[in-house]
Amino acid sequence: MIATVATNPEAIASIPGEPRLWAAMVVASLGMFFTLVSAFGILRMPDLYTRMQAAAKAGTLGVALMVLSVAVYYNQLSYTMLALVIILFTFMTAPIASHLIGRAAYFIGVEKWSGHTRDDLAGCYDPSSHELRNDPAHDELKPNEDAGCTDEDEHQPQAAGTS
Amino acid sequence: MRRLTTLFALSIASIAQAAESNTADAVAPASIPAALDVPGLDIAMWIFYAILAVSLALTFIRVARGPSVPDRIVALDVMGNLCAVTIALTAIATGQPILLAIALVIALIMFLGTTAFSLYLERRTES
Repeated sequence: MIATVATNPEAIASIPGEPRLWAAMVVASLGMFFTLVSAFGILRMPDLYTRMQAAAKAGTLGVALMVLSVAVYYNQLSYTMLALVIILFTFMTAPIASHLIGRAAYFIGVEKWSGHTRDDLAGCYDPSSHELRNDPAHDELKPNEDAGCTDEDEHQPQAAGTS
Repeated sequence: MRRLTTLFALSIASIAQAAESNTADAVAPASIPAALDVPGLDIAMWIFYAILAVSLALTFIRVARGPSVPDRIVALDVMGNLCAVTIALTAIATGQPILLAIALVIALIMFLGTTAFSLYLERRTES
């Protein structure tokens, strides 16, 4: 069905045995599953910010598992190193890319989901210089934090009362 | 003269024979059971390609329908991931593991594109 042209002698020498082939197929199936999950998440999630986490987490895991299955299938050092480089690069760049998109979307003012309950960044960004600074309402909470109280549920009513 | 012609004919015959044996040697590795001779692997590859096609279609719906620009950028990022996954799958299906280098290049270019898009979007809000 798919034409098999194995002109590379190294590739011919590394025809997988049965256990390695099944291991590669199991890893590839997992990668396919996560890829499909990321595509469904992109389509079905209600909000840009929730869609972004489907893209970043499931998509990255899908690419990493699929490349890892290639490395398992051809059990050779050069291709394994290439696969590890791809995995490392993907794991480094995917969080940076989604952080940049999320930041830009927050400044543009992309609308949030209606089930959204709290926005910790509200009022913390300087609208002209895009610098992060402390909200005055957050500054008044500082004595509580110094007292070692880190429970979110105790902070929230005070923040609502001061603002 | 006659000896020369027989020598010539012999040399041509030997060259032809060598060429024949050469082509036979060149064909033989391709007929060695390579990547897809294991029963069931062919079907698995087709199932994986079908899953990839479905995921690409789902992601493309979001690219076409996405209400805001960042939605489309995120969906295009996922489409780039899907391209890298497709190339990794092709590396298994065709027995050419060097295709992984193309997957690396695609991942790099998608990161550059996403970064540039988001930086321009952020700069657009300043003006």
